Amino acid sequence: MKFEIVKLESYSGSCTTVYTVILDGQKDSLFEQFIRENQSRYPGEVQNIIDRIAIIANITGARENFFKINEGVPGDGICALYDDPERELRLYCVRYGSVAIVLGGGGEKKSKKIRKLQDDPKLRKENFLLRKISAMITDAIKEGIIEWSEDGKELLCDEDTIIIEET
Amino acid sequence: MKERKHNTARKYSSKLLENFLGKRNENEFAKTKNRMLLAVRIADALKSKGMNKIQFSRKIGQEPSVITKWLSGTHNFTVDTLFDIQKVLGIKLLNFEKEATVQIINQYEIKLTTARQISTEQEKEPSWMPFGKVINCEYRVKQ
Repeated sequence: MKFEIVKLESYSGSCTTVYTVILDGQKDSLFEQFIRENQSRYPGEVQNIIDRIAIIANITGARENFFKINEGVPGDGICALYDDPERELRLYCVRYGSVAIVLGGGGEKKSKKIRKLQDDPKLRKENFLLRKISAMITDAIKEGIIEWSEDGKELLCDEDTIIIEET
Repeated sequence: MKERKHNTARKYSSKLLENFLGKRNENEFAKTKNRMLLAVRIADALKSKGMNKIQFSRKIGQEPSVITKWLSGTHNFTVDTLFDIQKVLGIKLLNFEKEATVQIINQYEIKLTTARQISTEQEKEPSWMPFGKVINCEYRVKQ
C-alpha cells in the first residue's frame, strides 16, 4: 500500500491541523470520498461534520470528548467524530493529541442498532484501512522518514510530499 | 544535534471541499459552535474539580452515556439540564439576571483652575490633589 498525506489548508486552523490521505492511484482523498458518498443523501449531516471540524480546528482543538475514542487497536489513535444513535453517518479519523487529526473515510451506519463496526462491512473496511494507515504513519515516524514539528501541529519530511509506502 | 526536517505536507484542496465551506449556514454553524463551547465549559469544570464522568453522572443522577453525549458537543441542552449542571459544578452557564444599567441624566464639563505648588516635599509625598490647589471652578451642562 502507498499513500500521500496532504494538509487540508482551508480546514486547518490555529488550534488543530487537519490532514487527509490520498491512496496511490486515486483521484480523491479519503475525506472527499466520504463527502461524495454521502452528500446527496445526508447533506445536513455532512455539513454538520464539516462545521464541527472547522470549530475544532479554529476554536476548541481536537478535544478527546468530541470523539468516540478507541475505535482501533490500543495506541493507534483511531477514533470517530462523535455520532449519537440518531445520526446516520460515521467519520473515522486518527487523532494526534488535540493539535492534529488525519481524516479518513466512513459511511452510513445503515441501522441505528449498529453499535460495533463489525456489524457493517463498509464501516469495517474504512476502519481497517485507517488502522493500516495509522500503523504505517507510526512506522514512518520510527524510521525517521517523517516527524512532527515541535508544537505537534505539522508533519515534516525531507521530500516535497509526504508519501508513505509499505516496505 | 539532529537537524529537523523542514518540508511540510502538500497543501491540498478541491472544488468539493471548498464548496462545502462556502455553503455554510451561519445560523447552524453558530448553534453547533454554542453546543461545542458548552461542552468545553463543562469538561473544563469537571477537570478543575477533579471529577470524572462516572462521579459526575452519579452526582447529577444520569447514566454515564448521557454525560458522554453532553461532552460530545452535539447535545442540544434544555434550560433545566443546564440549571442542574450549574448547581453540581458551581459554574455559570445561564444568565437571566437583568444587568444593571447606568442611565445618564446630565453630563457636565468641569474646568478647574489650579495653582500647583512645586516643592520637593510635595513631589516626594503627592497629596490627594495632584494638580495643586483649586483656585477656580467652572462647570456647564454638556449638550
